[in-house]
Amino acid sequence: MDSSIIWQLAASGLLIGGVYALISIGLTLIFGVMRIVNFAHGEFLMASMFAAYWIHELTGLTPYWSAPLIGLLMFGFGALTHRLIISRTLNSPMVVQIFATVGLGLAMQNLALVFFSGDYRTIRAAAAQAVVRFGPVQVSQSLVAAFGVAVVVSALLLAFVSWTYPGLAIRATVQNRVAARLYGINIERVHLWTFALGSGLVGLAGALISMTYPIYPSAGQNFGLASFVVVVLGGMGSMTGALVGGLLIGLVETVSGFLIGDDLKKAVYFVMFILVLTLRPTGLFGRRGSEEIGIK
Amino acid sequence: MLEIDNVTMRFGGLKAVKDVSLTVAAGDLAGLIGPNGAGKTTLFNVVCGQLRPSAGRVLFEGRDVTGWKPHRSIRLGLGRTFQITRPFGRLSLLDNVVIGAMCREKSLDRARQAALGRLAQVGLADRAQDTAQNLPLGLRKKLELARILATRPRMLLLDEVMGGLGPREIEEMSRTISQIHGEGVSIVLIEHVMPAVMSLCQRIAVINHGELIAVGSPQDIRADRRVIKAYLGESVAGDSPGGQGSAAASQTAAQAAAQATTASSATEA
Amino acid sequence: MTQAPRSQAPSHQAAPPLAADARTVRDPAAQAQTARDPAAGGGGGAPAGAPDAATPTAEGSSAAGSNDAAASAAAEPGGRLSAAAPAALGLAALLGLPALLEGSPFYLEILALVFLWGAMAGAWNIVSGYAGKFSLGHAAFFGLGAYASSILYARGGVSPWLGIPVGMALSVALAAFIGLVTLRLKGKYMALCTIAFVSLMEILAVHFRDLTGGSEGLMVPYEPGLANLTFANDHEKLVWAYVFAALALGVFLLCRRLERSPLGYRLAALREDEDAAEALGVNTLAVKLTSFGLSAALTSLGGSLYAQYMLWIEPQYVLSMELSTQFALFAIIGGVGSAVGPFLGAGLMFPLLTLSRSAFPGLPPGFNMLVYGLALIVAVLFFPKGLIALGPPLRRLARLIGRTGRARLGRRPAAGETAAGLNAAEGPAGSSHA
Repeated sequence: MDSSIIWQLAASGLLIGGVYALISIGLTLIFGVMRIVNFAHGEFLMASMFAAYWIHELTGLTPYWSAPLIGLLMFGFGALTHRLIISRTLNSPMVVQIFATVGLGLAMQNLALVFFSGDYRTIRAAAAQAVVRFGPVQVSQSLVAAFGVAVVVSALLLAFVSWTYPGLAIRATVQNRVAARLYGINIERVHLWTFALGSGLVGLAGALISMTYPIYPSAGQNFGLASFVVVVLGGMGSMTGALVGGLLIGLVETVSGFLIGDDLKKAVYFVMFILVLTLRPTGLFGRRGSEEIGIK
Repeated sequence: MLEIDNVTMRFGGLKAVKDVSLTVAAGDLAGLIGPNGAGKTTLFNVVCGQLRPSAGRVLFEGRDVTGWKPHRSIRLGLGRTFQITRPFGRLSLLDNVVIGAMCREKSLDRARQAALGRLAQVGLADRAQDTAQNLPLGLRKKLELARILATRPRMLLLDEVMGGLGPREIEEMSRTISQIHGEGVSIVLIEHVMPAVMSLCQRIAVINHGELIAVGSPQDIRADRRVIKAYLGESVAGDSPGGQGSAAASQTAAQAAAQATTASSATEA
Repeated sequence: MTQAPRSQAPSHQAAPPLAADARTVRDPAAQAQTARDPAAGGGGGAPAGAPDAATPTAEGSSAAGSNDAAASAAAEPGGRLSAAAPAALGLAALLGLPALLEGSPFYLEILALVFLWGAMAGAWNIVSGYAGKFSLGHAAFFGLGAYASSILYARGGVSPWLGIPVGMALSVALAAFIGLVTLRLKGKYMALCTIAFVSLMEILAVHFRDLTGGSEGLMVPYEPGLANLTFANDHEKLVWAYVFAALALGVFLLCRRLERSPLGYRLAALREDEDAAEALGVNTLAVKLTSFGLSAALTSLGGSLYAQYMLWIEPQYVLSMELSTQFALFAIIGGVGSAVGPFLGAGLMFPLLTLSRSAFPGLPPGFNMLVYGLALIVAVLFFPKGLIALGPPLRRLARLIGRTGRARLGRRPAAGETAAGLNAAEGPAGSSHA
């Protein structure tokens, strides 16, 4: 086999992996702090993709520039969602915890369908088609940008969580909610900020990938599921896990797409998902929150 | 009746239970005590099947039940209560106990009769229709007991069944335990309420840091230097090298320990 | 308001643990054998079986419930009649409505599908509401049933009468597999895993297009005849309405039976606290797998029947997440954890949306699902007990109206009623003897 194919696969895989990582970081952060699964995560991504599209249509601003804005928008949306919905589910029975966000995802997806129709849209900008060459390898420029942002954001987030006071509050909440409260940490505020932050990260991700992928109401579904796979694989609550897991899933998807075809490649990581949940529910870098999944 | 054979329980790098061997004869009313975090509940978890030991065996009436799922060992007559009560919250008290009775009775009618009987035994018959999650702590402990009694155990492992109870409730519970024992159920008791343990139990085993440090009669245990050291620290245990400190000193030390633990458990929520 | 004696949950079989309503469970020793009271039995009030943190005993009605439990065990004459009424009404609806609507195929189809979706929501309820293991993957069983019987028929010439059991068997096997895989997973993570299964199946169905027709779908051959479970055009919709009605009735009765059976108790125990249940002798693994298998088999049956009815199946309809969510939605809106809830939910939501679609043809695609999504959020946050929570207040209202109405009409006492019983309806509470 031509060695350049291997390089190409590796490069594409890693880049896509970076995207998955970026999408999943928010999810794992939310999970780690709040122990909730946001079943609408994919739809948050879709919303930001549409935001990038419309901003570009209306103002000509490419997503490279609008990404931070969209991140901020989704941050706000996340805060709103938390206030209205998420905060009411935290100590509720299982049916509420699951179906509040399932309903949200369903509603968001179909809201988009109602207003924007199911047509596939793409951002027609020069930047979207731009391609970068590294030796034998050719990759889309926007993907490289997304990857770059993923790495930078992960690093920043890790620094934030490790070295700042709010980050410390977050870590304390993850480890022992009751004790954290007793030490004066406002848990509700930590939750609000965490959910908003996680949503903002997804917003960023959506904006960046909007140049690489078509935009349509159910676009979020696949990405959403993929991000769950990444989070479980990497270990729920672990940011390193999200990064490594994302890269791994990206590679697996690209290679299996090459080996068994595009329509089956997604099947591969669902199988991986099921395998991980069965064999090692704590994931690769399982942290405290992951006990809830598997170990009794 | 119950033989714990060199059981070790490891969680990752931590050994919660280190090579513990213990036997409980049929008809015993034994106590298992030790400071918090000593590994007592973990030991119960291993015996009853909530955990599979890293090493060692558990034999019940000669049968190797190591790692048996709890619903299997229940059939043999080995039952337990939980330290933190786990009622079926949205069901009635009656239904809670019925579920226990169902493992012995085939018909729901007979199960209900049996359940009512057990509720009466612990004094909860008049609240049979109440919802379990609304019960105050003391009554929840009673419900827990009634439930496991409905499974007609031959040996009962009670995990801090008096925890958080007031003095009168403790007395009541002690009487109930005696009564159950009198009916022929062997009992092992994890407790912090020292007076109750001392008066109820014929034999007491002491665990600290996952290790069995002493086994004997209540008097032996009260005077045992290692036990005193475990609860109160080196200085109080006295400096004699043997197993017994000077009688007077160890007596007062033990009494102080008993009072301290009683006071703390009485003030526990 | 004076309180007249009521016929309550007649025997100790009322308010079974699956309905988790502690209030009307009565002391078996004080029971008289009276007629089964389906209305009261259907939860005997807001079943706490609806996974809801709100405590039933906090409601005012609980006081009434326990008073009645303490009251005489004999049935009150008027009460017995009013209790039988809902059951009779339900049966009448089942038998009569389809025939009534024969003239308008549009409404007939809506009715038929209400029966089907209600049954599917009811099947979902067995594992999700009763056992508390929420599944978002039930479309997998629906689709498996639909494709299994259709593929065997279309490609292999095997009659659907044989294909349906095959589909059911496959679904049970799949359910067992999923159950084992998700063994140690708690609530939301299990739900997540079930999503993976559905998605996987949808991908496989689209991929193996030689077998399944891919995303274009599979057409079921139209050869009318009972042997092929296909019906000639004139009465087709009517027959199918009755078929689905039978399915709905079957699921409903099965759930009611389940609620009162030992398995029902075990399911409730499993739902409330799995470890405690295990420690009390409940073989939680067996119970989990049984409920999952039962639920899957019924869902698969529905899927196969649907395929025979529609004569056309596509992955996006029968294997979609939306379908899974729909089952859950109907059950949640009607009342999770009750036998009648799923049917109430289906009966409300499905006609509402289908009719509004026809009333406002300009509605864009996605409108239905948008409403479903919003309804789900609102229902789960604000009305977690579902429509059946309206039960006790409505029933009390109905009794009130019924009693005063009958008294005013000066109705002749029926056999078994005494004048005292009738008067007691208006006077202060007193024991009545049938």
